[in-house]
This record gives sequence, C-alpha cells and structure tokens, in this order.
Amino acid sequence: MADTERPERVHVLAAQRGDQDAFAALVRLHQRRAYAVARAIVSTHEDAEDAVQEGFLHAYRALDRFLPDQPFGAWLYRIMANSALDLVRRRKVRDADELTESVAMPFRDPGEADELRSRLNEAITHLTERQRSVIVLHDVEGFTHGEIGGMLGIPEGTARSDLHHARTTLRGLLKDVRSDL
Amino acid sequence: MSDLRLVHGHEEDEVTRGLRGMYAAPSSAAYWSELESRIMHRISGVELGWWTELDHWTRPALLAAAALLLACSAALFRAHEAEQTTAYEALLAPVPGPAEAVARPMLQDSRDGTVRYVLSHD
Repeated sequence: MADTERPERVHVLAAQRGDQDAFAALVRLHQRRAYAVARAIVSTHEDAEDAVQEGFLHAYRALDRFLPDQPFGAWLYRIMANSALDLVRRRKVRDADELTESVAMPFRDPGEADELRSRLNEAITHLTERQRSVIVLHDVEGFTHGEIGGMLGIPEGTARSDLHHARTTLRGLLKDVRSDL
Repeated sequence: MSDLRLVHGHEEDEVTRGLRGMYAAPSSAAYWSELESRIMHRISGVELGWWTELDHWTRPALLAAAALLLACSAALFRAHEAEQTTAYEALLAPVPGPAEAVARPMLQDSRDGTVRYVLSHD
C-alpha cells in the first residue's frame, strides 16, 4: 500500500467504528472529485450539490459493508454516480416539463458571452444524457472507460462507443467555431 | 488518460477546454468548507436505528448460533449413540433365573398330574 493511501485507510477504519471526525476527513478528501462525478451526470450545479450530499449520506449508511482492502474512492464514486442517476430519474418522474427545459438549456449562464461556450451549450443538447456524462467524465475528469462503465452501470465497450459518438457529434456541430479559433 | 482525447498535438482541443470550463468545480476553499459542513450536519442527524445496531451484532450472533447448533448436534448424536448401546446391551444381557423354569412352566392342577403320569410311564 502506498504511503499516500495510508491515512485514507486509517480514516475509513475509524469511520467504520463510528468516528464522525474520520468521516469528515474522508469528505474533505473526496468531495471535489465526488462533485465532478455528480456534475457530469446531472444538469445543474445545484443538482450536483444535492447528489453529493445524498451520496455521502448513502456512503455513511453503507460504510459497514465496505471492505477496507478495496479502493475507497472507486466505491464512493460509484455511490455518487448512483445518487446522481437517481436524482435525474426522480426529476424525470416529478416534472417532465421542467426536465425538457433543463435539457434544452442545461448550463444556463446569462452573463456568458463567449461564443464557444454558448455554442458548446447548444451542441451538448444534441448528446444523450449518457454520452454527455461519458465525455465529461473521460475528457474533463480523466476517468478511464472501465471506471466510467463501473460508475454508470454500463459495459466498458459501451462507454467507449458513447465517447466516440459524443466526440463525433460535438466535432460536427462545432467545426466552424473551432476553425475560427 | 486516453490517447483518444480531443487534442491537437500537445494542446487540448478547444472543445475539451470549453467543457472543462463549463464543468469546473467551484474553486473557492470557503465553498468546499461550507459543503463539508452541510454534509456533516446531515450525517450527524442520521439516526442509524436499532437495525443498524443489530447489523453490528449479526456476525457474532451468526457465529454463536452456528456454534450452538454444532454443540446441539454433537449432544444429540451422543445421546442417540448411548441409547443404542443401552438397547444392544439389554438384548445381549442374560435373562435372570434358571432356563428350565422359563422354558417349562410348573404343572399344577390334577390334569397336569395325569399328563405327568402318562409321560413318565410308557
């Protein structure tokens, strides 16, 4: 085990014994990455925040089922992804109209003047939710196809194929913008 | 990182850079500190409940139950074995009293006397 992993393992074991300070340390270690995972799946920053909080709550409740020999991050991010996917599903069920609006304009930023960003906003709406998640998790967050597959509950090959389609779609839609840059 | 990433030479593709900007996590330390506080506030309010406490006792309870089951099985087996041994011993043990007495009951009445006379005189 690497030295850098030791403190995390110590925190995990302590948290499993009910030490909330140790769990807080785990939150500090992982909340940024957890946010990134959730943000790639949900449509807004607010939803990502909600998913992160829910995800940590689920993780806390399931902590006694976690085997300390496994990588904690991978386990936690899978929970985060599930939490975010649950939130997306709940939104769909609760308010289909609101969802349509949020899919059409997932990243509303009234003050944004940058052309690439606004074109990108529009282009992203041509991707499926899963393709968007895959391209963000891979190209922005650096997760591997296998890790993405594990988080989203899809085969690695499907993650690879989604990434390819997402890139092709974005390249096609943003060709003129990219050539102007 | 995959080599399939949208790159031009050594530089990131503009699309990737744009995505990175759009999906960037907040950078303020105060934001993360506040989010951590909110998460821990919710965690501290979690009532794990008696079933979680019960869950902590599941493994020891299962082990104890398994040990008890083994002990009961062993005791039952021994009791059954002892019962069988006693039964065999009872079968093989000699019958109390002389064998003739058991085989030949005493002839007591007058008819028995007649039979005895006939048998003793050819």
